[in-house]
Amino acid sequence: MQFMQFAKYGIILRRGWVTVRQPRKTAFITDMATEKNNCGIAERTGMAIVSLCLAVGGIFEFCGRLAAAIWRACFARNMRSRLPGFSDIFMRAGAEAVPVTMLVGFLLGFIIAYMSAAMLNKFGAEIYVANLIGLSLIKELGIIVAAIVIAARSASAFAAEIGTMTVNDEIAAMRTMGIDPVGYLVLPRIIAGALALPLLSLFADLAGLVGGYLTLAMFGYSAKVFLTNAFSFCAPADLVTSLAKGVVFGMAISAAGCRCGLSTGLGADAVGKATTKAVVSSLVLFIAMDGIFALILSARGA
Amino acid sequence: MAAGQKGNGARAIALETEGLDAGYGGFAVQRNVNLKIAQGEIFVLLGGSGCGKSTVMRTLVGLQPPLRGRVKFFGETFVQAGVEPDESPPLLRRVGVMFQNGALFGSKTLLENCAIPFETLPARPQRQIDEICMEKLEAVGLAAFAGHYPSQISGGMQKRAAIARALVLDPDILFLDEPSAGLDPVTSAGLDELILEIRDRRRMTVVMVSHELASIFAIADRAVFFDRETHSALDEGAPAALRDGSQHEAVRAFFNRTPASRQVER
Repeated sequence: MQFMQFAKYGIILRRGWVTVRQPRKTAFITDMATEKNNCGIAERTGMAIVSLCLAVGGIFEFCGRLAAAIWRACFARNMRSRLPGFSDIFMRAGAEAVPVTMLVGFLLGFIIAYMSAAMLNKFGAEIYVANLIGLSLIKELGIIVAAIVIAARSASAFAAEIGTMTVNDEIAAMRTMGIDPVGYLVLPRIIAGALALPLLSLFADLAGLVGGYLTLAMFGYSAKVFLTNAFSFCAPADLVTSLAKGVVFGMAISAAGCRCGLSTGLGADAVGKATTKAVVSSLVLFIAMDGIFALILSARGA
Repeated sequence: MAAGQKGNGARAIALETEGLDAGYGGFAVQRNVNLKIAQGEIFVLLGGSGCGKSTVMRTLVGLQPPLRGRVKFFGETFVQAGVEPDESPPLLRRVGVMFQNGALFGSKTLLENCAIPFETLPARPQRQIDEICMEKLEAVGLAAFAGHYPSQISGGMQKRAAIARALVLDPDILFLDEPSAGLDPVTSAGLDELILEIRDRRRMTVVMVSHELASIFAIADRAVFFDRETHSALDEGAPAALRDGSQHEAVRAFFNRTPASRQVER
């Protein structure tokens, strides 16, 4: 079956022949899946481009639905239906993630401080470890730790929850009851992510500073000296910027997780795939966004 | 109850399709479906596996847009569910749907599951919502299990709970996807009685997909048989009439449980 289809009126590319064929009996999407294994590089490229376009279109559609859901939530008459289940979701995404975030933050602060102290000690400049730790944690690392924790713990959980609901027809049932799944399931999770991530980053900052201080304590510096130095390079504005970044990342990571859940196929393995995709895409998304933020902020001289 | 026994007078048309093509990804699994289902009727969508009866039902309830043609409820054209949530609820409230596996929300108790449809309505006291939900759970015989989670009850109970949830806003049309599939004969018969009772008590129209011949003969007023090969509705009528007098071998074979290897065209 050597052919390549464009939309439903397929164009066959077979040994140099180009013919227009009638629409096939089965759906285009299933064709792509079943015939992927026995086709050449041109066909694969074409299919990849088509599925990329479909995926991009899907993302835009999702964003549109999300915007509509936010708009409706703002004017919802029924208070109960604004953010259903929000407190539970926030509890799981935020409060329950505090220990692991602090552990990772602490270890990260300790390791970075220890490695840099070993180096700076040669120049007698180990006190600058405090500045280094303070600056890097508050500007970047706290947010990164919190984002990785949210992506690993919550984006995956969102994708698995919503994906299982999709497989069990629960999403379909919801739609037949006139409930918009984006407003009912996605919106509370996105708000929870947007609030949880910056708060978790504060915990990561705190734990990282403790880890950094432990290292310097080994060199005999007092806590007061450590703290003075740690905050000497950062302004309160840096913290505000990084918290604002956290809000954006939190929304993006939760949205990626929920979207992967909603686009789950059929069957148990589809849920597994959706979960994997949620974690990978949310990590890639947040790193890319972090890069964009770095460019914008450095252009503004921050 | 014998097929077609219910009043023969002019009844309002609850559900009507006009030249409906239902399918996925541009391909119609069933073409030119023209149904007229009267109010208070129990109507069954029949057909072999993969003939597209579930797809037709998903199109009827608005889960996927018709490829062509229209679906009308009481003369009104249906808005696709979920796409225009601002517009569809008034019409969706007149429709209750039970999915094949129940599709109850696992994180909610039966009572909470039944209360979900109220989320689309303006706020009302929780006590009032609970009362209505308990009444529906009682109607399906699950009042004692209101506080249970779906995972704590059997498959048959889950289906009954799903019917209770579908009934909670007192819809005019109830859609059931294989209500008795996978149930033992006694539970299945109980479910049939429940469906009849709901129909008789509330003058509700019931549209169901079913494979269970016993249940079809017991409760269905009319049925339509969808064919996989021709992608069209082969025949329509009372189940007994279809079994004995259909011109189509495939339809008779379905009702007489004749395997494909022994089917001959008359």
